[in-house]
Amino acid sequence: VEAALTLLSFLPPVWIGASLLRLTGARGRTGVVGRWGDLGMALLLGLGVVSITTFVLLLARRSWLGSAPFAEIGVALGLALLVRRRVRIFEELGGSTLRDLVTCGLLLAWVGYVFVSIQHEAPHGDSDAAGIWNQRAVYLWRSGEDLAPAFAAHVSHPDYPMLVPCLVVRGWSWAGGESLLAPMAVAGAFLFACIGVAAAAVAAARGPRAGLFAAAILAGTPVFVHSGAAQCADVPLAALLVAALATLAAPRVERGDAVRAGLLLGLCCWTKNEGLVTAALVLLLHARRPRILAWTLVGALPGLAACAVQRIRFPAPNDLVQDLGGIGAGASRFLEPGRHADVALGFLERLLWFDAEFWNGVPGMLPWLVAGVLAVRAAGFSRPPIDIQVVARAIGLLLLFYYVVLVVTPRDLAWHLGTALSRLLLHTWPAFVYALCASSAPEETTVLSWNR
Amino acid sequence: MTDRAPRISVLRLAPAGLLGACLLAVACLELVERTRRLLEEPKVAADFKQRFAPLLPHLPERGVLGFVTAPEVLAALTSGKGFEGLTPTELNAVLTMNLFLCAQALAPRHLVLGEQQEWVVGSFLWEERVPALPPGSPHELVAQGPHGVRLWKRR
Repeated sequence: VEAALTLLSFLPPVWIGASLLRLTGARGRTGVVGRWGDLGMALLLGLGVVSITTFVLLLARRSWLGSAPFAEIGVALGLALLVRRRVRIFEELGGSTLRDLVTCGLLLAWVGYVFVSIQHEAPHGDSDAAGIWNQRAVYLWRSGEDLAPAFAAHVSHPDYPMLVPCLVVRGWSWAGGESLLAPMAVAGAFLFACIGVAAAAVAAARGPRAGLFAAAILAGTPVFVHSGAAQCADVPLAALLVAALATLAAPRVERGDAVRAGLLLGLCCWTKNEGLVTAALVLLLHARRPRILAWTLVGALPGLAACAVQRIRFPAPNDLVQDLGGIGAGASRFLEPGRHADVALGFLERLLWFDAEFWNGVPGMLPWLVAGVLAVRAAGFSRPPIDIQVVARAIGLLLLFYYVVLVVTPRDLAWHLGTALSRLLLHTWPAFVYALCASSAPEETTVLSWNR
Repeated sequence: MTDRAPRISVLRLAPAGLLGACLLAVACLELVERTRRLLEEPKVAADFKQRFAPLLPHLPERGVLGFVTAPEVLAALTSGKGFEGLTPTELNAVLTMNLFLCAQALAPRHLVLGEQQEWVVGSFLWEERVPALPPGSPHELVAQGPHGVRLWKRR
């Protein structure tokens, strides 16, 4: 029953997400890869909305949490009524070749197998999940009307945004009590959505086989799948980022697309503190396109508002900022050449080989970049049908930000590099794979992205 | 809008193909490793919270509790030596994970490392290690649960 209810709890988010896709004028995708991407995009949007809905219910009255399923169904019905009068998608869905279906099935089976194995081994998630994300959910669930214990100084990282904890809590409200399945299901949904959205975005630019190749790269990166199965917020952030960038990098970005991208960027802020910087950087890249910038900001409002309410209602310091020791101390660390050398070497190692800590690391971004450039030069492929610069600059700026943070970190540098760098690089990994495959794979078919 | 385009040439994708082959090799190794782990008993019990159920009736509904673990574990961690096949880093991770899971089990109460609080909880993650307070501690044992879980209160 618990498993069935947990599974059932994903219907309203998918419904809400699909309605939002339609409301923002998205067009349906063709083939099995496209459908995977549609479902992934709907999941990302819908899960974001129900997470914020749960937060609102928690703030209003903790005892109302039991009515979360009804509130979500109400939101879904309301959006569905709106959609009826607007745009329809899923009209242009076509068939898929048997090869695409089999490849998709194999990839999903593979990721599912690894995912289940990791859940079996660590049912409570990894230490960050147990100590931060799931722990926050437990405190929210058990705190009664006074939510203060969930944000007390004794809880690790009380300032972290709440997309994942709120999703776990709403999963428990569907299941009728605390269950290990809820955080597992949330992690699985984001992993599934992340690979699907990246693959579909590539497929839209270069055809389904290139899309499946992108999916294979992501599914074949153990550190990525492990992180997705760890019940943390890194893969959700990566999924939201690649979805937003794929929307903004499309050849035509209409008002609805900008709103949708904004909604995804707002949810980045609601997922991790790094998401706030990510969203700011992506918005900065659109400073010269004021119309798109304005509508993206409009879309980002729900996520930003949820973050703002959390900061105001439950103010908590960020541990890195608090321990930085002021701007002077940070600047003096920044001016130490040795720290730059250590961080640069750490980046180089991880960019060459994804994760030296895992016995099963894979080639990192640099070898893939070289392979992509060689493929383009050798075959003279056509100009990519996406705005590759938007994606490349966003990834570059985000990595630069992480570099600076690691240089000035008040923590032990070796420890911070060892525990954080691979995880931080993962935030950009799906977006990188999307940009790489969409710009260097041979063109098969040209189907424009979700954007009309 | 759909255009037919030339068939994919394998040579064009050779560099990416090499990396793809690398991924495939990693995937095969991962498959073996994952299967091995799937066949093993998980080290952390899924019903971890149940261990602490016998303690709950004795505890106040809110507040900050102390947390200790088995003395030999702390000694191994402090000395920087390994412990039953675990490196100090791994041991630290195990201890931290233990603390996190105990905090989840006892929420909305909070846990802090040390024995200065009025209430002190003791546990270790997966071994039948018995936690203990330092000699001369002003606490007395109030309750105990399975897997070496203990609860003390200041006299």
